[in-house]
Amino acid sequence: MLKKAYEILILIICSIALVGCWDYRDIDQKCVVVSIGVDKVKNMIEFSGEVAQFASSKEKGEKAQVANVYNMESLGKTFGEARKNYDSSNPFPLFLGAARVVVFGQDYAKEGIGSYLNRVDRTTDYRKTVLAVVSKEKPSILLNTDTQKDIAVGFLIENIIGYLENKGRSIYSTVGDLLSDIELQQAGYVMPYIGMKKDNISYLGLAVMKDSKLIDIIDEKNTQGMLYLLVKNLSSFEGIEEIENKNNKYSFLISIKKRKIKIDYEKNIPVIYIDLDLDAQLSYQYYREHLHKKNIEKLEKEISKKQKQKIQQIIQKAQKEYKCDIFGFAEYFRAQHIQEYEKMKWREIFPNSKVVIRVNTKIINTNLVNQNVKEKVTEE
Amino acid sequence: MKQTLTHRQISFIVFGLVVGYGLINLPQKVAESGGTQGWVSLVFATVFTMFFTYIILSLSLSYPNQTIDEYSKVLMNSFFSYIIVIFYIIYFFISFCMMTRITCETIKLTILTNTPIWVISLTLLIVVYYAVIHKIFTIGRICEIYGMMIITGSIFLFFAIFLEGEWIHLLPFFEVQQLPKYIYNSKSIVFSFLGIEILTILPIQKKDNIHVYKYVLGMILFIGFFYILDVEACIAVMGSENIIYYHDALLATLRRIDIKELQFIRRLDGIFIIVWIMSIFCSVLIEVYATVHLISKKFKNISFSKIAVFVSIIGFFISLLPMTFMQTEEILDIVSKMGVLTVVVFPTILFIIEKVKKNVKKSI
Repeated sequence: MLKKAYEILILIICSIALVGCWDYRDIDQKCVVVSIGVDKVKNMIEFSGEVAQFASSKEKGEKAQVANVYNMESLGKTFGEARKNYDSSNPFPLFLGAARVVVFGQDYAKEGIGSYLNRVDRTTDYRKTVLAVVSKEKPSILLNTDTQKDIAVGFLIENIIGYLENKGRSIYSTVGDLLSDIELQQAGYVMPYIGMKKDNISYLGLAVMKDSKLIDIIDEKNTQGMLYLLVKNLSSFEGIEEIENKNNKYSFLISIKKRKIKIDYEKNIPVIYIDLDLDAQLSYQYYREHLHKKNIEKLEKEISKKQKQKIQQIIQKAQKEYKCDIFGFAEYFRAQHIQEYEKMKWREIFPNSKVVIRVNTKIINTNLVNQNVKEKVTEE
Repeated sequence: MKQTLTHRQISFIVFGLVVGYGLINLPQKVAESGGTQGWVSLVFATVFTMFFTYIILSLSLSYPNQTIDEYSKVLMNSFFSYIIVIFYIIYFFISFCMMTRITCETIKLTILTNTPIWVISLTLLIVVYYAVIHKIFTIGRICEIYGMMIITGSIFLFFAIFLEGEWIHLLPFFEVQQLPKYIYNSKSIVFSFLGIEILTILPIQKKDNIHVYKYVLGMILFIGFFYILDVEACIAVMGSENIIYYHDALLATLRRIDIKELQFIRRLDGIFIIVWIMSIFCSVLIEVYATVHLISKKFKNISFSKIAVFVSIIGFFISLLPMTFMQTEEILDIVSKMGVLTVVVFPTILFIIEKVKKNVKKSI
């Protein structure tokens, strides 16, 4: 009997202690952060952000849950001080586990984002998979924008970058990815660059970071060469002029079939071989004309040439202007020449490396358009 | 009907003790000593462990249904046997105290940030006490069931991590000219296999002894493979340069991945915490049992459950003694060095004495 009583007692204690009935706090008793902005204002750290509003409001009653947010701001000489200042005007403890995006202001990014990335890494409730971007506008202004899309700015940015990454048109750089890049000797990396374009929050290109400091912006239209080396599922439309009639254009959907990067180490100089096999599908022609079989090969060469130029341009820029590896070649060098990698600094030898780019394109279909029609008509 | 431990239960008890807290920090240790090629050192460490497992098993099988306190008395004089048993008691006792403390510290730093350490420690030890008083056959069953759950959960996690990892992070795999370095590095990794000393206090039946070898040595081989998966999965996501900064390497890795396709379990750290706490529970449970078992052999007048209460209460207070996380780590470091005596030195000495005695008998 006594044994049974003990067992029941243990069960009651466990059920109270383990199911969270003790010290329970409702979700509306916490400030759930949706997005965080970090910037530098007159030598002070500025935190801004969006906090989810759980209490229903009459004005926003019919909007999506994620649209109900209010903005916060605080200043301080250090991260700790800025946070303290925020806490002193806040009724509930901050919960960072639901944050969708960290937005770095340009001024702050130019001075270096490494320290904040480390803060995220060591803050228990912060997700390390949180998206990190650099903003053209001050984060406090950007995160206060009325999106008119019935969605919080944090979610909007996450969705835009997520969609573009899915299409291979941008990269989705998480804090965890950036921390891994920093530890590697390559010294450089890129992250999405966003800002306002015609009153809309848009993806503007890629921010180039060296030693975690912003050194340049690559405009969206010039990022394709970079993306060929970084993303897996690139698919982009490319307009190619017709061989015989320059007024006509073919629109091809190009995707990466195979990418191989090999680094040889010859006479103390690394030689980077980039082999890229591309698949091209004819999406449509500007004007319907017969595509001769003999021209297919010419078009393939033309596509390859154009894509090769794009890759060449960005690599040359990285070697001559940025003087740092933003492509992750360091990992290939370490994997293929570990002895040399440990002896020398990749960041010093990368700018003098030779680069051999080989692009091979195959037009795999013409989108079910019968290319023999014209010939038959002519014969008749 | 007399209860006996099945071979599978014995092998899962070994699994329960070997794979404990180490699951979380092993990738950091391996990457620190050998980078991407650290897995080769793990292979060598597995082979060393199998060798000493064989020695302990063959010693136990020479004295069926006996534990070290009994056969050490037969092989040596009672004074030395007494010293050995006291050493094992101290080793298991400090092991479980410090294991409890470091686990509670890690839980507080990573999951339950507002919960006091003593609450976590007390909760763990109350459950452990309840299991210990049901003795080794219940513990065997718990380890068997929990072991299966730990293995299934962990392998699911490892493969999920691999899906998010980068193949290039794992290279280079192997270099022939580094072979001496791999063997040298294995000496620091071999501590991750501490736990096989539990075989010295498990009563093993003489019959079907080949099966015991098969199960236990097979389990050590599996643990080696399991460890390699653990290490390689973490390196695939974090890279070997980055992972060396994390004592909680596996948890840190899981917090860096987000598998959108898995929908409501896209964040895998929740699954890991369940698996890891189960694995810690098995380790602490076995160590508490080993302590209580050896003390009860010395104090036959006191009941097993009373000793269990005493050990759990004292253990609880001792676990709260270290002032900092670093102090706990230092003590655990000393304990793992003591482990070399319990796994290598004492069993080898006893094994040699046993062989000499056998040969003398034969020659007579």
